[in-house]
Amino acid sequence: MINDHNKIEIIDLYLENALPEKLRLEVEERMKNDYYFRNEVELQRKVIAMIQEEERGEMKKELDILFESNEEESSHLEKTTSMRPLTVRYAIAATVSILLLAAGIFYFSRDTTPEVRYIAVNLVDGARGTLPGGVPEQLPLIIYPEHAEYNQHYQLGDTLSLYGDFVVEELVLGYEPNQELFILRTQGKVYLLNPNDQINSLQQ
Amino acid sequence: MTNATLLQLLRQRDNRAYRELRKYVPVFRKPLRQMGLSEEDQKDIIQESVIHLYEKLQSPTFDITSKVSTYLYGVCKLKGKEYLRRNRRTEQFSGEIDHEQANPEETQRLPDDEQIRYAVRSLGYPCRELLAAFYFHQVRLKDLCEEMGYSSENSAKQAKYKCMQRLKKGLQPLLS
Repeated sequence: MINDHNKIEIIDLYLENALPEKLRLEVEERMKNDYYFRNEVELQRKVIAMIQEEERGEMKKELDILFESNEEESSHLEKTTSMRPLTVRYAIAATVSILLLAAGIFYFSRDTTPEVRYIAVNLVDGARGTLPGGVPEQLPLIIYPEHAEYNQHYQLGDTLSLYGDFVVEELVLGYEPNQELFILRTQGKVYLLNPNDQINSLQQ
Repeated sequence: MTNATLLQLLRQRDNRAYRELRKYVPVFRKPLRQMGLSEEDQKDIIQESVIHLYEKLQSPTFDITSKVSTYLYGVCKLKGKEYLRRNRRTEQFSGEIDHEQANPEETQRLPDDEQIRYAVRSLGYPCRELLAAFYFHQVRLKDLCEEMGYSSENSAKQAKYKCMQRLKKGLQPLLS
């Protein structure tokens, strides 16, 4: 039974869709017939939404920290990533060289802190578009040199994560459209990567 | 930092979590940039995505199986698309509201957003913190006792009731 003492709590639960069926029907019946009660429910809904909006605003201020020292890095990365579409093999090769050179400049620190860089995708036969949405020209690359759980593993989705002691200058990534697999070459070894966004062990 | 640690720190709004996530900001920005969103909109969407994850993490039933960065990357992309859709709709909208369809009795009685915002901001301590903890941070009454020094769950519940009552009463004169 809704009364002045439990009204706020019942409206809270109604708005959260957490009322037992019987009480929910009672609230809805009352809203249908009692204009003031209906307004009270609506006012409480608006007040709660405003409390949440205000807190979100506060939290956004906290989150400015995410961008504090990243602005410069971001624009720098943008410069390295905004390249023209690749159409011929030697253009790809040139891009790979440029990226590897850039990667050399950015040399991956091999401590436990992963950093995000980019790796070009070298097309094995020049074909593009066998993946849904097309094969990307490059992928964000994260290397975890000393991960607690994984070693010699990878995760490939929108980002390529490599777990193990990899050196970015030695990595070449290709895509094989016939098998719909990516191919990672490093230190004379060839690994097949499945773009299923799961953490898998590296298989030669 | 492991995924579990990052989630725990994020749940607690610990700055170390934000510093860890900072590394991924360029990755989060990339699809948003490809959608043609401005730097400011990209920033806004990334912040919204982190807040979305924070809100999800307050629910005991929420289970995240992917890496935090992968999850956030996906949320950023979705929010970016949502933003574009919303903007397209706003642009297509002629700007004329069909006043005849709205029931004036129902639409004119409630205070507007700015009046409610003013009332919320005027609440002061501890009401504002208490209501924010309950309605946004989803802190349980039991934990509110510890955090805000209430002697029992019932006292915390009473205090919350009084704060909400006070807020609504303050808005009563604005009901026309």
